Amino acid sequence: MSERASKRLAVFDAGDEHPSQASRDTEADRAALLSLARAAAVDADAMAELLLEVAPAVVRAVRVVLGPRAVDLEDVKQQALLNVMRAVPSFRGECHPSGFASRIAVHTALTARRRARGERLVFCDAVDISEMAPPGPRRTDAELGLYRRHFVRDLLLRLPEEQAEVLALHVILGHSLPEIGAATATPLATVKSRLRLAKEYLRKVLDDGDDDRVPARGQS
Amino acid sequence: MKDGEPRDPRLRGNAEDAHSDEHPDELLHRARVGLPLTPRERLITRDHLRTCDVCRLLEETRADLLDEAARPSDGKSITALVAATMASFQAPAAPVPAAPPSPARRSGRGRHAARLPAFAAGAVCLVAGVALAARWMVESPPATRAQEELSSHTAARERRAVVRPVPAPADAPAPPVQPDVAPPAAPALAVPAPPGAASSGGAAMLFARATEARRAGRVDEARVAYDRLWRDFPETVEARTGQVAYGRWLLDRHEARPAAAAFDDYLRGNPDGTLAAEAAVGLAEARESLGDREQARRAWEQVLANPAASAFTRHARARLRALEARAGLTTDGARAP
Repeated sequence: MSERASKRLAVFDAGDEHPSQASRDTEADRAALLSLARAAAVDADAMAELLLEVAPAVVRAVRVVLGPRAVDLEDVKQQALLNVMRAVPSFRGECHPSGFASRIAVHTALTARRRARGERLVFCDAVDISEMAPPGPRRTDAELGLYRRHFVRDLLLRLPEEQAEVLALHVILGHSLPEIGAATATPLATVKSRLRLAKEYLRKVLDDGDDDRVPARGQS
Repeated sequence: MKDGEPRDPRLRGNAEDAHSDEHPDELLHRARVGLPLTPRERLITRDHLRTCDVCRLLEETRADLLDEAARPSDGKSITALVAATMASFQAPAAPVPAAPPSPARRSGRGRHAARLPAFAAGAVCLVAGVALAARWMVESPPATRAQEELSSHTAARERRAVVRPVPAPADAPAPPVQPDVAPPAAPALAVPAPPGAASSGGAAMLFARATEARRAGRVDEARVAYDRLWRDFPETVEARTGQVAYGRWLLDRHEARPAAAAFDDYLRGNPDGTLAAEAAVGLAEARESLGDREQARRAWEQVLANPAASAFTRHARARLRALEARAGLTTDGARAP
């Protein structure tokens, strides 16, 4: 990495690690980010600066999909950021760079989780499991919340990948449907359809499951 | 009443019903990202959440998930993540430098004539190389050639084999340059875990230790931990994952040959493994770093053929184009004279 990029890293390190999204909301800032993304394909300094901008979104997306205690969390975060860096040359500015990076992060995390699930890798450690109360009527809000989080993460794994991506990006991470369409190069109608199918599947699970399996039903 | 709403209360009622029948996804999204809602929109949103189990579950869980994700963790900082990522940044190949500007730009035959000496020099080098290669093939006995091929093929494995014979950690003296190697883990490493407990016991610990040493730059310790992991727990997820992590690490350290061997080992044992895409990309990058254009091309084509590596498709195509362009330049240089 060049000296300039190292200095930029040092400046970033000294300051706030999570620059507020509000500071990037103006059109001018967005245009600056897009030009930074174009420059990043060939310039290490621009790439470092761009990665610093999008890394919080990447980390958040990976932590949302994997959970904060996943054994491979650090490696997947690193891999997601590497994938973002490799994909930057193909970025054409159709959407906000953070949306682009979030989409790659969600994809990387989902892929890692699906494959690790196939290989029977355990995601929650002993502490996490001990927080899970046995099914029963007297469950605290914290236990219900934990169960719901596991339930939604499990749902993301059971859905087809493109539906899981839309659900995670739109409902959890708060990206708009047109943004997701732009980031995934998919027509808006298709994105809406994927979201609808994902929710239909969730409804089917809720309707078929019993109260122990589906904590949200009739309790919230 | 708002602008644009029908004045007739019956129509207005119908319009409201029609609006409330439609899924208020846009309103929910606006509420999610903190955009203001009118009182009527808030009412619609609230009504929908009251009646729709699916949306209510998702909205409530969303807040929990984001809270959980925002909690401080003891993992790598953003800066460290970016710095580690940038270590493998490869700027695209620099464009061929333009010829120095001449006062009067030549054209046609004159311009080609100016390139002739360069092409001639290239051709001489090529012919000399071919002649030397032919002489070597004639003079060297087949046994020697086979031995050399074998040794080049296994060079990477030999490199790893150098660090394989690891003494038991209990007897092992601490490396003089790394006094900060954590001793508490050593007794646990000295006792080989039973095969059934590999995934939850020693393998996970060795993997964590290797990863920590790798990230901290403790090279020897990382190598030793990886080698133990592969030797003692070869069938575990940690061992397989470690091969790719080790390969990427070596590649970042510009040790392309052992990196290629690590990726190759992983792909041979796990062609459909969790990290097959990453391993395939790593193998291609390692082959390219080694200057082995044909093998690099094949490796990138395998990346393209791997459906799990869709995230790398553009990158693979770009590298293939770059390789072909470089090959074209060489071929032109050889043919020109």
